[in-house]
This record gives sequence, C-alpha cells and structure tokens, in this order.
Amino acid sequence: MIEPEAPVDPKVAARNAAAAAKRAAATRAAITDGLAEMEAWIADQLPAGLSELLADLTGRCRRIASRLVDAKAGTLAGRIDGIPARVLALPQRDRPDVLISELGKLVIIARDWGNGTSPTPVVRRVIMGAEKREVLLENNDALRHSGLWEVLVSRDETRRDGLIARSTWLLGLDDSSPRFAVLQDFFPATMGKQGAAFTAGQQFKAELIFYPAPTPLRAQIVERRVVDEHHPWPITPQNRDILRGFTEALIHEPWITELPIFLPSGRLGKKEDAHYWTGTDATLPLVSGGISDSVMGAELRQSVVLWNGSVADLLASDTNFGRYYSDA
Amino acid sequence: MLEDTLSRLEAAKLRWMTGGEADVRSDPFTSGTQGVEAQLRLLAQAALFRQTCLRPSAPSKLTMVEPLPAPPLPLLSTHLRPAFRHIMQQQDRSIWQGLTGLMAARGVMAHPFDWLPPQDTNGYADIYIPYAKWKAGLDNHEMELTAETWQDMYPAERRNAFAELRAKDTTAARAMIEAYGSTLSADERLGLIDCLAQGLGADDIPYLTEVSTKDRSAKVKARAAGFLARLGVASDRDEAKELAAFMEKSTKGIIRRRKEIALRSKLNGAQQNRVSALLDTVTFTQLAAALDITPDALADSYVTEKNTIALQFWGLCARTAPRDALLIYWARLRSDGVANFSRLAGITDQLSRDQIMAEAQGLVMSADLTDLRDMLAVTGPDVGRDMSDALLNSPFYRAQLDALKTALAKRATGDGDYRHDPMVAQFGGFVTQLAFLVTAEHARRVASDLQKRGLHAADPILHPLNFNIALQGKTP
Repeated sequence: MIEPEAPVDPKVAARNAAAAAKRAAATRAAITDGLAEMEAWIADQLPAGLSELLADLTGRCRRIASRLVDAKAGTLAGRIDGIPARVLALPQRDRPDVLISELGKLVIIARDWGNGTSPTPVVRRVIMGAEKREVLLENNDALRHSGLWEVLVSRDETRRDGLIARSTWLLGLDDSSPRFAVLQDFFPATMGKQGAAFTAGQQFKAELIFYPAPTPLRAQIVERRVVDEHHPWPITPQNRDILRGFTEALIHEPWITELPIFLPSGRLGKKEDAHYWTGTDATLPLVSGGISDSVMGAELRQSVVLWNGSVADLLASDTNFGRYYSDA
Repeated sequence: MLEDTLSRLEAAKLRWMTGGEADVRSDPFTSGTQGVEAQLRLLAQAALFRQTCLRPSAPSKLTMVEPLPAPPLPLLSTHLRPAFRHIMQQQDRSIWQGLTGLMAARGVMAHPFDWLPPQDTNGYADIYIPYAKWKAGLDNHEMELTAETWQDMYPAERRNAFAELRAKDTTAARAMIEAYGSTLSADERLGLIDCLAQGLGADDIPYLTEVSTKDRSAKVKARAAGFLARLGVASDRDEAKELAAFMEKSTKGIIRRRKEIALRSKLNGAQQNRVSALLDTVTFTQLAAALDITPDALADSYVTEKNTIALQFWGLCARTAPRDALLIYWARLRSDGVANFSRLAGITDQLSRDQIMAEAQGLVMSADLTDLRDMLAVTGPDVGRDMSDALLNSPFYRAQLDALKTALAKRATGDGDYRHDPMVAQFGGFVTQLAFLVTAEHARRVASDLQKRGLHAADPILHPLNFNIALQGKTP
C-alpha cells in the first residue's frame, strides 16, 4: 500500500526556496570572486615572465587551484591542477604556446561566467562540475543516441582531491560521420585500483544521453546490451583538413582542451625520439609514450587520436593487422 | 593578414615569456583597451589563434619502419587477445614459450601488437623468426645458406638452415661450420655443434678434435669432446683413472649378489670438488676402461641417486656414453624412480620422437610432475589425447587435486585465505603449464575437476585452461 505524500506546507516551501536561492547567490558570489582572483593571478604572471611560471608551474598552479576550491569552483581547480602535467609532458619548444593557450582559455572561461547570473551551461559545468545523472536524465533537451559503441580506451587520472577520474572513450559504429562519447567515473583513490568496467575493443549496444553542449561528448549510459559479433569501424568521409573538427569545436566552445579526431589512412614515423602520424595531407606530432614498436610497421587505415591543439594522443587504429589499442 | 597576426602574437609571446607587457597599440583584438585588460584579451586570442588558424608542420625526413611481415599463420582472434595479453603479463620465458607453442600447435600465432618475440628465438616456434628479424631491423627476405649468406642470416634461421643442410649433406655442413663457425658467438656455435648429432660419423673426428682442443668456449669444447667420446675417441686417460680412484666397487644383496659402483664414502670437500670437475671432462668409455669393466657393465652397476654428483654422472652419461650403455643406465633410473623429465631432456637428441613420447608417457605415471616446464621442454605443447589422458590419470595429478581440496576447505572453515596457501600458489604454476600441454577437451576436464574441488569459476588459476578451451583451430 502506498502512503499518500504529506502536503507541503507553503510557508516551509517558500522558506526552503529562499534558503536555496540564498545559497546559490552565495556560491555565485564566491565563484565570481574566485575567478576575479584567478584573472589577477594570470595578469600577475605576465610582467614577471611566463618562463618563471614554467619554472614553478606545479607550485603556482596548486596555489591558485586551492583558492578556487575555496571559492567552490572545484572542477575548474582540477583543470588548473592538470596544467603542469599537460604542459611539462611536451618538448621544451612547445611549452610556451601550450601554456599561453591554457591561461588564455581560463580568461575566456572567467569572461563567460561574468557575474555568474547567465553563464553558458557548459561553462557552469567546467567550473562547478556536471549535473547529477538524475538531473541529466530528466533533461528533455539532452541528446540521446542509441547504437553500437566500441571502447577505444579507458584511462585513470589521480586528482589532487583524492579522487581517481576514469575516462572511457567510445567510438560510435553506426554513423558514417564519426561520433564519439566519453564516460567519466570518479572513485576515491583510497579504494585502491578498481577493475576496469570496460576493456579496449569491447563493443556493446547502448543508449547514451549526452550532457548538453555544442559538441556533445560527455555522456551517461542509459541502457546497455551485449553484442555477440565484432563489428567493423565505419568508413568515414575524409576531410583534407583533418583538424577542421577541432577548429569548429573551438569556435563554439573555446575552452575545450582536447577532442577526439578521426584520422584517414596513414602511418607512424619517427624523428629522433619523437613519434608522428603522417598521412597524405598532414602530419601530426604524437605523444610518444605507449606507442608499441609493432604498430610503427603497420598501415593505419583509420585512427582515432585525442588532439589537444599541439600534440595527438593515439588511442586506437584500424590497421592492415586488425585493431590496435594504445592501452591494450 | 594571417602572417601579420602571427607576427604580432609571436612578439607578444616573447614579451610574456621574458616578462613584460605585449604591445597592444595597433592590435585589433584588444578593442582599444589598455593595461591588464588589454593583455588578458590578447592572451585569450593567442590561446585560440594557433589552434584554429595554424597547422602543425611536418618535420623533414621522418624515419619510417619497414612494414611488418605478413604473418605465417592466422593471427589470434580478436576476442582472445585480451586473455593472451593477460597470461603473457607474467615475465616468465617458459610461459611465453608454452603459450605461443600451444597456439602454434593449434594453427594461430600471437598478434604482433600484443607480443613480439625476443631476439633469441630459441624455444619459440619458427613462425616468429620473421618478427624477431623485423624487430632487429633486418631484411625479411628468405635466404639460402651459402658462404655468402652465412654472416647475414639471423641466428635462428642460420641454425635451421644448417640443420637442414646437415640432414641432407653431412660433409657440406661440416665444411660450412669449419670455415665460418668461429665467427659466431659461443651460444650459437654450441647450437650448431649440437646439429652435428645428426649423422655423426668418423668423418667428423678431425673437426671435433680441433674444436675440443682449441675453441674459445669451454662449453663448446665439452660438447665436441662428448661427440668424440660417442665416436669412441679417447682423450686424457689419466683423468679417467683419477676419477675411477675415487670410486669403489661392492656387492649388494644376499641372493642376487649385484655389483655396485659408487663414489667412496667420506670424501672430503676438496676431493668432492675434484670429482665434480672430473665428471665434466672424462668420458664414459674412459671411465669404464679405468674401472676395468665394459661401458655396459658400468651402466649396469653405477648407483642411481638424486644428489648433485649423481646428476653430473648422468650428464657425463648423456654426453658421452655409447647408446646401449646410455639406455641401460636410463632404464635403471626409471626402475629406481630417479628418472624425471629434466634427465630425459638430456638425451632427447639421441631418441626418436616416438621413443621420446613413450618415455615421457612412462614418466608421467611415475615421476614428480611439480615442474611441468621440464616436460614441456621435452614433449612440446599440445601433447595429444593419449598423453593428456595419462597426465589426468597420473598419481601426481590426483594427489594435487586432493591437496587442493584440503587447501580450499581451509578457506571454507575460515582458516586463512586460500590464495596465500603455498600449495595453491604452486598449484597455479602447475595448472598453467598443464594448460599448455593438454588438449582442449582435457583442459575442460581439468577446469571441471578444479571447480568440483571448490575453486571458483572466475579464479585466475583457470585463465590458461579457459584460453586453451577457447582456442580455435586444430585440436588433437
């Protein structure tokens, strides 16, 4: 027997709404102040010289990130905490451009937020974190896509807040234009290494719901079913400008730091210790770590990389020897 | 326009990197603002300019690796590759050899993205030689063994070609190693000398004599001396007499009055060391002569034991004993329960494949099988239905199952975690090697036996068995 819900006292409801509004306003004000401090921090780095910032990048980023945590902008703080890893992993010559790009995008995020009354939903997510799954599922404007998906890679990143962020990149196999999705899970590092829910190359049918964005990417699985057969990658029409998708995404979301890109046929090459993907119309520098010797000798019919504006991280390739997964 | 912007932003970058404000006076991006605001606006534009308007430039002269060779066998199916990688994570050469050997026997090979063979392919199926060559950056075309190609061939290829040549033309093969053998490493020379076992004859004596006295490697010298001994060529008789002096004859048994030869008891440390050194140098026939008996009589009367000296005596026997004497002593080792796969491995080059398998089947029913790596080295993987039956009916296997049941029962009574039980850990290694040996049908039976004793169906111990079961292809 279902008990009828107790009627809500209008006065209590009004009090609750007022308290929630007050809390929201306080959060908004805290974030606005935090972002203003962040802008001032960026402005302070320029006269002192970004070379000095590079010399103490981890420490300085940590300090401003801590301030943003206090200002309730935890997700943005995590992004700033990740800057040293993204910049210092690059060759010396590439670091100034990438650092400028990181700082400039922080300015763009702060300007989009303004006083916090009408930021774009994506920027709200970049600063405060994504809405809960239940909220997303109730959002009728959120894109839903049912189809066949393949796991390209699942990667863990330990964050400063003690959580491990696991990103699982998926490739849609149904469309002729490449469709990607990323699933993000968080769990405490204290729980130890968690078994992967997905393995590279695994395929499944699923309905995904995407967090609303001009370039929908982050998603949640609504429903998932196993498939018996292994399906091929879609043959996608190739654009001569392979980075056009990234450029277009930046126009609508200038704060993005990386985007999966589908590459046409090509091969991998080396110059000294640096790896490159090279095709008919373009050559991209690659993150060298984790590239196996054997894939260097394969013909890559199609590849998926994570492009961050300066270097590509090879996730998977469809080759003349079958599928290659960088993390397998 | 693009060049102008690039030039302005490069100038700004230079200022920001060294410390200072970029010049924004004529910059359309900053909308007439000044000071900090203008710098931040320019920074935001700079953040996007390079990523939207520029494209990475290709470095000059990229080095491209030679294309991977075409696989000689079909590659392992995609759905089994994760399981393969999981098993190969164990840094154990015997596991790598066992698993890849099992796969080769079933008609598939490892995907080169998952695993490439080591430079020394000894112990791996020959199908991996092209990949070892590719990894070493060598040309992959096939070569015939000639004086011109000798130096260019990959070691494993050279050994195979040499063995083939020896089988076809013993004289030509000997001439080849005589002329060019000294250019190779000791390990490779040893491998090629081993090939001389095929068609070993009196014609080889001059070359073997030369090697046994002048080769740079003691191992190679000893191997050549062993072959000479098999051919009845005696060398230093004084050493054999010295060794014989450390031995004593006795008679055992009241009725049979059996003669027995053994080392004298109460040898001191220095004497034991000397015996050990002599066992590595003298030959079986010399020792028999020094003891004033025939080689067959020595084989029939020397003690069968399990200690280190006994193992060395077996080495002497395997290297240098005439075939009849060798088989007499081996039969005694078998009947006295001292024979095992490690000892059988020492004489496989003198037995036919059928003889090896017959001996192996006998050992399976009587020997301690704790370390199946020795059996794998003798029989190879995927031993077929009869041998798999023997393995699963062996007293050792049945005893292992009983011990496992006891260990798992401890867990059921809360008496510790069964994974930490040394018996279970050792059993895991045993099952891994067993999985490389038996047929898919027998692997299924083993998995069932283990689960009936209480092992969980998802226990990692079962992974190699499940891989065997899932492996498609030829199943004997």
